[in-house]
Amino acid sequence: MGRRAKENMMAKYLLLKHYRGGPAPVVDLPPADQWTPQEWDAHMQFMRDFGARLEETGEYVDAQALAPGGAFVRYDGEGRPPVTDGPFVETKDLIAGWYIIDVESWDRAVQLAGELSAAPGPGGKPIHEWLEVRPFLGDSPTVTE
Amino acid sequence: VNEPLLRDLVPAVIGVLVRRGADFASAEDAVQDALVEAVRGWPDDPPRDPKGWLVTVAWRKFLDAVRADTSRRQREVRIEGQSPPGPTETVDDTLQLYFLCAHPSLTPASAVALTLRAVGGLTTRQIAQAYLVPESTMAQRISRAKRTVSDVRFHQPGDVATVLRVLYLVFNEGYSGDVDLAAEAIRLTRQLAAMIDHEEVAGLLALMLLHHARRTARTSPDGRLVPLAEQDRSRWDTRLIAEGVSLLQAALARDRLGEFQAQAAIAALHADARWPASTGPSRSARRMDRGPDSPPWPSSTRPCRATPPPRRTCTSVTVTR
Repeated sequence: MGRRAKENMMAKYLLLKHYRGGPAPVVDLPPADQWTPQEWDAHMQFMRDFGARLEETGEYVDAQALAPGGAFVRYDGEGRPPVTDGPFVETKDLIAGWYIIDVESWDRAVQLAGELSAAPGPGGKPIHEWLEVRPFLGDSPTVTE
Repeated sequence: VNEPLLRDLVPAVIGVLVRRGADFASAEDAVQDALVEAVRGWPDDPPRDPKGWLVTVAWRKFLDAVRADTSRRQREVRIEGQSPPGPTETVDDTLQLYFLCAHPSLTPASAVALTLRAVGGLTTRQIAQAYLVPESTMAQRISRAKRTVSDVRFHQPGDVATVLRVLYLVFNEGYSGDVDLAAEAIRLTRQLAAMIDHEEVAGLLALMLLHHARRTARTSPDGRLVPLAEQDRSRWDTRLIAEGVSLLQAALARDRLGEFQAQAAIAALHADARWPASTGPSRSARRMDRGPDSPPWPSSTRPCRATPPPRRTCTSVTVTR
């Protein structure tokens, strides 16, 4: 996809939240189970409000949160059950959830990720979490040759 | 129901409602409601005058909406009664709708969405599917776009360049969902070309046809993109190519080159070559001032004002056929 498509058309981005992984945190947060219920509610409310604002601006595509459990699974040959590995004790990277947005530009995606990263944590202070911003692999525009 | 035929009528019907005093946003909503009714009712009971039917039903929907709105707010009824039956207005405001939906105050994405709905007659759901976003998101985008242009006077002259840009974006989106956006862009550009005599409109239509002609050859059965040099040329649609080339020749003959004509000229060179070797990028590049990768419109100038390459180069393009 050329720069032209990037500048002029809507593109989808994934804003990925991690339980762990990514660059070193800038705020030393206690584990989530040590937050008060009120702090947790405020955090979740912020997420819902963020999604509602995206809906209003016509940029919302999807949002989901993941439970920390689960496992890796793979095919193990004909007639054999799938092999599982997990739960994710060994992984240094663990995905917590995502927003998918459809926005005009990379800059807009970064701006929104910046807002999302200011979600409140303990004491109502912004958690400054690192969010991974990934463009979707789009279809090539028709006029490319 | 012949859906493309039905959708052809949409902009004209919106135009009639606006001419009768409806605001654009309400007129557009009313016509969408009437479309839904048409899709439901026409298979069993097709009207003799489809446009007249749509105007009548859309106007009734508009009045209903105004009345509901008015009674809710306890205001006086602003518009009385139903318009007299009879032949529908002959003035066609479709061109005005193109301009309004591509108004410079809109972002490209909003202009695209509004054009597909108000000019193309697609439903919000179809547009949402084509752009792979939830229907509610597309509905928001469209209603924000309508708010943005709500203060624009309907009959003020517009800029063809912005309309072309929107149609180009729709075309380039290609094909996803159950709506073929490339075909839709061609339909809308054809309609525009029939209404307005402008060399860049012809240029864009030619560009679309020349690319569309290669569509089936552009992807392999497994969905991989096939480069031009490896495409099976027997699968190109020669009828579309011939139409594109003839449109382009007529446009170039007027000697007012713009970006879309230039791009179409390059596409025509490729489409004309029976063997890949006879048109390489270097040959195209020699012939044209701008390479095929330059944007279709300069950021600061309008496409039709773009500095044309020297005259001789475009003439040489026209005679290659």
